Amino acid sequence: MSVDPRLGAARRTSGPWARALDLIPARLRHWGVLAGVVFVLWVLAAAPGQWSYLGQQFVAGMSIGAIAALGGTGLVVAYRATGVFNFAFAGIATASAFIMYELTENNGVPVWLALLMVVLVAGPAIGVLMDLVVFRSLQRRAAGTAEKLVANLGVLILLLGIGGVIYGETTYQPENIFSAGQAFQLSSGSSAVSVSWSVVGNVSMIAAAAGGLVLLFRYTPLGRQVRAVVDRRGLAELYVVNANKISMLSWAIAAAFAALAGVLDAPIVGLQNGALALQVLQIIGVAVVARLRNIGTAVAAGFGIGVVSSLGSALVTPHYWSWLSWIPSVRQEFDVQVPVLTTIIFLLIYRSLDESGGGGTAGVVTATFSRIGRRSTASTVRGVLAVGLLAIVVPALLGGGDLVTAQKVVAYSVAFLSIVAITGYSGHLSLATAAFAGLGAYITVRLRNGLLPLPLATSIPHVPVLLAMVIGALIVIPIGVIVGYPALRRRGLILGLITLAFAQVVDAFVFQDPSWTSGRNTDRPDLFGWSLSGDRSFLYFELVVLGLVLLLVRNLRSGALGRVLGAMRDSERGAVSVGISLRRYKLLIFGASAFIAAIGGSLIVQQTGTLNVNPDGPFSPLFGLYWFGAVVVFGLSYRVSAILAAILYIAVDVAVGQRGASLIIIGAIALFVGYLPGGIIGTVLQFVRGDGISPSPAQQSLARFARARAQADDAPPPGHDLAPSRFAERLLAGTGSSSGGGG
Amino acid sequence: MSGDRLDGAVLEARDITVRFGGFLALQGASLVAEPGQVTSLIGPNGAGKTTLFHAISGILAPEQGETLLDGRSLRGMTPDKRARAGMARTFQILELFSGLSVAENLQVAVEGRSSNRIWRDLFSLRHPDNPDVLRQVREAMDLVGIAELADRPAGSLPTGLSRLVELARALCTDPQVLLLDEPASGLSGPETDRLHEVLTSLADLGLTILLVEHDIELVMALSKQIYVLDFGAMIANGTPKEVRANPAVRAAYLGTEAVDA
Repeated sequence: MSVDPRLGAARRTSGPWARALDLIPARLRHWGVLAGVVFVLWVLAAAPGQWSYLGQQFVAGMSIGAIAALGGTGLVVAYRATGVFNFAFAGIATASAFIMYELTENNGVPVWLALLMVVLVAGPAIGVLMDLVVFRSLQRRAAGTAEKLVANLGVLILLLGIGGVIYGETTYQPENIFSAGQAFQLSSGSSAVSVSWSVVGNVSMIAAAAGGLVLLFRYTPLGRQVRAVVDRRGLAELYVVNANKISMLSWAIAAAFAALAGVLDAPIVGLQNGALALQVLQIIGVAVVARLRNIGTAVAAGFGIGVVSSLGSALVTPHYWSWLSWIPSVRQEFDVQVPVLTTIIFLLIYRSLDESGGGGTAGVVTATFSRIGRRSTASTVRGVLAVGLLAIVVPALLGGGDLVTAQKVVAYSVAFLSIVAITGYSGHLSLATAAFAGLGAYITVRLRNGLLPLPLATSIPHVPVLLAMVIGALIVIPIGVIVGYPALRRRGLILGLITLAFAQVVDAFVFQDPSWTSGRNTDRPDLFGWSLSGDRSFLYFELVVLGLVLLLVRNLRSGALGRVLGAMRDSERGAVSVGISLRRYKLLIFGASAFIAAIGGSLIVQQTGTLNVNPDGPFSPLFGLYWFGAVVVFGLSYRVSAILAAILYIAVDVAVGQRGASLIIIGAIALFVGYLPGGIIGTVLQFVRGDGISPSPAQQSLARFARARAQADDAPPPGHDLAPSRFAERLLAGTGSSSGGGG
Repeated sequence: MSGDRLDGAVLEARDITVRFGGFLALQGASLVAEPGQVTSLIGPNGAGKTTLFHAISGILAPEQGETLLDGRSLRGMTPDKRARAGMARTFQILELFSGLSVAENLQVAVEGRSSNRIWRDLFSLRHPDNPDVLRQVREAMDLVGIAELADRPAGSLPTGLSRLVELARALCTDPQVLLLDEPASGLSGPETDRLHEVLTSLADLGLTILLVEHDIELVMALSKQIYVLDFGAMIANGTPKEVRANPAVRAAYLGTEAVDA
């Protein structure tokens, strides 16, 4: 037998173009080509008389695209070499931009020297630290994908927390790294296009960085080993490669790319802790287009996205696109909208990225074996009474500032319960909770102010805030269900990226609506003419809502429904094999968790009174990551961890008097999630209750204690084996004689 | 498990072709499994046995061909619909619900078919166990012999016991057809004997059983009918005696030279 008969029908392709096309999925090829043709025709139709302007935009797009290409390359290198999607790159970029600012503005270091120090020393140093402190031990313990992902989010949260504590929400304006003056001119006359030094600089940066990568990978032994790992991780590990060295080098390279992207981006968008990170997070789209695989594609995608955003935002002006001007938000933020739309579209088309490792949430969700609730009415009543008593007494004891803090804690507890439901109970990684909460808040505020809950300036009658909250939460259910559709076939990282991209889309298209200039305030509810606007009465109102949501979430973990969701979390194939319709339950849990998040978001905005949609506002996409991190560190599958997470998230900042302090704690704990299976609560419960198989440490030590006590009880009193002293002898003799005398 | 007698159904796979990229995993494979007996599917590693199982249970959509249950085509039906239609299966790579107890694993299987409890459970304060469901769970555990494991976390069990739990879970779906993917691998001697007894009695009760198994002794002892798959194609079928004597089968298992020699 010379040829395996099964290989007879293999598809044959030849030539570089055919092979390149083969990399693109078939469906994408048609739509991608069509979209490209439409865009080019559109540019050409708009072009006559505008060559100079469009050329200028094209060149500006190249400059932005170079930065995106750098960030995307760093993401792909990190993912391929370490198996971890490096969310932290946004934090590294921000931290590096601040270090650069300190060096040049406050310490007078020349720009070129500061650039070298940041990109070749500070950035890589962060990467090496990440490797030494966090990822090396995770790798050694063969940690799951979810644990590495959470640890990486921890780095992001920690870095941004530190930035927040030091720099607050102030926006700094760093000097351009390269002069904005003209380097040279293309063409002349009416079609002249001036190319500035900053464009030349940015483009040569990506050229130099890519060239450096090529040199490193091709001509150094260590680089060749990294490339081997990047190409075929499983295969390379079979050979003797120094895993530690490679991992450290990869993190250093990835961090250097992130640092370069941050330093170049900061002068363009302004240097503000959250805002820059949010901007840099859009670069995720570049890595997504490259399927987390191909560095060349990432570079091309970076330039492509940069040019399309730049040309597009020039063309999407009322002058060219008057017929679309009724959607105000489309006109303005095109440079933001193109990257986030690209991300979500490619994630939906690809269906799967080139992911390594499993897609489950094993390792972070639960450590202990917990039976599905089957509580009786009596135990429910007891629980409700106990919690209710606490909820009545505690607010009465609080006053002033503490009351306000408690209001925030309760509102965030409700929102965080949504994370417990979606990730803890059903195993779906969702980073969009802040977006759903934000939508709930948005609809509440819009309806309250007599505006349609759409980015349109249409007036409707004012809706009372309580009703607006309920309507908002109900409207968000179908949105949650729609976001749940991609989850029917996807889990793990790609689902996390889709939900994050959804949050970015909501932010870019809904929250950043430039036509929405007034009517962002809301009051607190009335109930049957009884005002709940006082600080204490509003807290009681929130507690009632929290109680109802707690009951709802409890029901997601009880009875037949709880069993089905738990089954789905542990094995989708197994669940299907016993006749469970994944579609029904996945959409149910996405809808339910969106509903809960929307209620929470509405409470949050009622508490503050104004909807803040700035990057440092409570619902920007970055905050979805913070919220997830806060719940993860306590344990995703416990209701009480939502409340504890809210306390940590809110109260620490209040106690320290500095925003960002709580993020530092959350991030720092998240780094070591590998040592905390099931989070803090899960680890404590495992210590106390055991894992259901063998007795827990606490039970063992209790048993030891009980055994020692039993032995002690049986044993004769201490000192029984000693010879009695002379004094005792006399005493014993005396009592003997006295008793004898009495008898 | 509703009555004394189980109603098996005729399972037929007709001309199933599956391709992974350029790799032809199954080329026109067909088989028929009758009620009340064990039908086995054997073949060397990589022959396509699990792929055929995936195609029959609906996890994979075949390029060509279809599966019929009592003459009714299951074309286009999702795996969960096929499970509700009476097709239960176990997995070569275990797919237990590791965070639930053994009893809960079985409870889900009984309850999973009907969805009318979603809304009631979502909005009610009490979630008592249905005694009827618990009875079916206990029966299945007793039948397979894992009753003492009821409260153990499923994720804590060794492979052999896990396979028995998967079998019990499959029985809890009230199946007509049972697809077992290497149920004896990882089982100890006594456990294998127990499995032998259980499968025999299930077949006697009328169930249709399709078995993929490497333990040839077990296959020969249990099966009425055996199909042999090699390189994605059916190369033989017949009674154990016929299959044992078939030269093509011996060539597939032992290699051409060995048979020629």
